[in-house]
Amino acid sequence: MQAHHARALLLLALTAGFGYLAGRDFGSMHRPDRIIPGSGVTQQTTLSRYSPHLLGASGETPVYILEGKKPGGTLAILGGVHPNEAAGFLSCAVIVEHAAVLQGRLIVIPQASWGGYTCTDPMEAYPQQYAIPLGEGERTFRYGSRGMNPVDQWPDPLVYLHYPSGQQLSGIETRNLNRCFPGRPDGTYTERVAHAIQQMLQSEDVDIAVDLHEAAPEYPVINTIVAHERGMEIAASAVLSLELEDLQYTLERSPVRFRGLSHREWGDATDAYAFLMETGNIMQGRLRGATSPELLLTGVDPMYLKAARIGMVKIPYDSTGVPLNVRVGRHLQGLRALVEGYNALHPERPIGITQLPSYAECVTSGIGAFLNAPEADPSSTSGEDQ
Amino acid sequence: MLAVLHWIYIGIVALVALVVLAEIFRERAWYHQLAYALILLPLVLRVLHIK
Repeated sequence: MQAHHARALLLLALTAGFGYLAGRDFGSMHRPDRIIPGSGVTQQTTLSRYSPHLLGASGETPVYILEGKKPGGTLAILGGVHPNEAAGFLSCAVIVEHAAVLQGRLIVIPQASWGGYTCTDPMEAYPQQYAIPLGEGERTFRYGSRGMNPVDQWPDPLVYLHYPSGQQLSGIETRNLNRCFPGRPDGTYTERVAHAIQQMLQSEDVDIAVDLHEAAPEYPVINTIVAHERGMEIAASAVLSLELEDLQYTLERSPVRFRGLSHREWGDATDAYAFLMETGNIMQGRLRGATSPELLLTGVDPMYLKAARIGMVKIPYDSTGVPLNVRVGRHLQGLRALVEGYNALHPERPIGITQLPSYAECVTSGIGAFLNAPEADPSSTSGEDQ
Repeated sequence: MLAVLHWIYIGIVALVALVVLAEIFRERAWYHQLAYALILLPLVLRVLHIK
């Protein structure tokens, strides 16, 4: 055997070794996050129930239903439409694990872009996981990608054509769930997920649907409730109510000509009042320094302190940062305010939620206080999370 | 149609991986061989739908 052939075999062995290590690391992102449903959950299903086109695909995300004893309205809450916006997912996790419904129904999809949780965004230095401290121990969750995993949908087109409007966007948006509504049953993987969500809203006769997001602190639409025009009255009432609790929100009307967004397409195609809420996530900011799980939890970044001093940040920002507890608290308080607004408008079909942590409780106790310990999970055999 | 496009893409990646593999054995300079090995890694992960 010649020397360069022997060297080639050695290099191939090294490649296989590195491939195995990298594959194991990427593979760890496919292990689902554990959500430990609380006593308020009355039914658990998956998204393919609403669209058989998702059956067996990696869009099979869990759906939790919390039903009260008295009939009433139905509220749908989506987190994880963008899996790099952790507060939306964690708000849903807190609801599933802690809240209960007295009247009406709550349908919660904590990880709407299931496929986006199996990878992170390239060039962002995002951690693959982060831990939420509990009273004792911690719970670990994946930090995902804004778009679906390219493994499930590739190649991206140069220009993404939204269905059915034909609106043109950058090719990468073809894997962004919040540009693909209303979707179609035989479309791309992302369009099929969008279609299933749209079907869920219709078939479950949802009255009010809320999509939970986060955004970079320099993004103008932040600490905001975006409302479809049919829901402006409810949203305005919610913003006023939140202002009275010293939580500042702006109210944005859903743009009519920007297609594919949840609040626009849900509001147009279903009977639901459609809303989207944004909080400020430093991890998504373009001005941030070192990117770590601590930054996600604390929201404290020295670069943003400098940016805030020269007025480049669209939210109040000081050395206390924007911790995850604050962001989840804002979402939960915002949901509470929207439900109150809806109930005032529809007393004949109200929604009654109990044990929903308030903003103050999230900030003072931390969201870990409202997540179940792993031993509370009847499916758990080891007692360890993940 | 979309699934066909995907598998055409995977086919192209597999073909390029095979060409790179052949080049590792044909090449005599170690640094070129090392470069080919580095190039091969993501191609294999892509074909196997790992990354």
